[in-house]
Amino acid sequence: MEDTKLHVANWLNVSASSEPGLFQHRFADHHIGNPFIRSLHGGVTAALSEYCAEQVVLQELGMTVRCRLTSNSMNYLRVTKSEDVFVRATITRLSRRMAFVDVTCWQDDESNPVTHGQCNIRIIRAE
Amino acid sequence: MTIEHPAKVLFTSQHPLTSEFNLEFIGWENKLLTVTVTAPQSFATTENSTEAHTGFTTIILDTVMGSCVFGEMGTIQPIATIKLTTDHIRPAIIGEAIICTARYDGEIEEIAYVSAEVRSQKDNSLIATALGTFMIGTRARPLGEVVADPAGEPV
Repeated sequence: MEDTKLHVANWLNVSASSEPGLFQHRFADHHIGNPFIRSLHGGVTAALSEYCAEQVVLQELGMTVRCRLTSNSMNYLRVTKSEDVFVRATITRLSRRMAFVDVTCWQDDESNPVTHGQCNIRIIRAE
Repeated sequence: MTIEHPAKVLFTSQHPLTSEFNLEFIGWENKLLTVTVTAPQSFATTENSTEAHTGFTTIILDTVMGSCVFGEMGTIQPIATIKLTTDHIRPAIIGEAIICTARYDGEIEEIAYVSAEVRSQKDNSLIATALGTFMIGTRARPLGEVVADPAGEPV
């Protein structure tokens, strides 16, 4: 295993953009699910969505809280390509203990998303 | 001649994703596929965390449920995940051996339905559950055909 892949953000090759809630994934070969049409693995786009959903909650509340993702429901709308993915995570409801986040992934055009999902996140606040 | 389960072929191949995880095929019986894997350091939530990110469990669930569909079809024919729903009970721990079991629940009109769960190999505690819906027979060609004609484009 390469030293540069010590935690999930590196493995996913994902980083936050300057725009809150917008993230960019950089394609890597280990993200491929079907090697013959070189499409991304469905689990990878789901994992990417889960990570970005947590990060948008941390952006909103600050790093003093902990997030534990409780569930994720993803719809796969289009075939993906072996290219970068953009992710927009939007908080639809934020309560004291829970966050509900909509996550949309696209490659070429935001109006043609490849996946759309909802993540539910338990928020654990410091005492 | 013994025909190997397609998942066993997939996990021992040079597949760019499955080769990263060292998935081990345990068995296929009564539409039930069982696989073990160890949570890798590369999925730690943060650099200093001992917990694996839920994304690791999600990737394993999707992989094993898809492989369960291959098992039922008897071939690594292209399929596509249509819907994936996961519930995460607790995170896997880095270095923890987990067992993923996927059950082929049925199919209708080229849509396959699979359910799965991930448990700790050590104490059998539940880590995650999932439901997956897969489209059987995408426009991509079956693995055998593509290997026989590597220059061929997917149709």
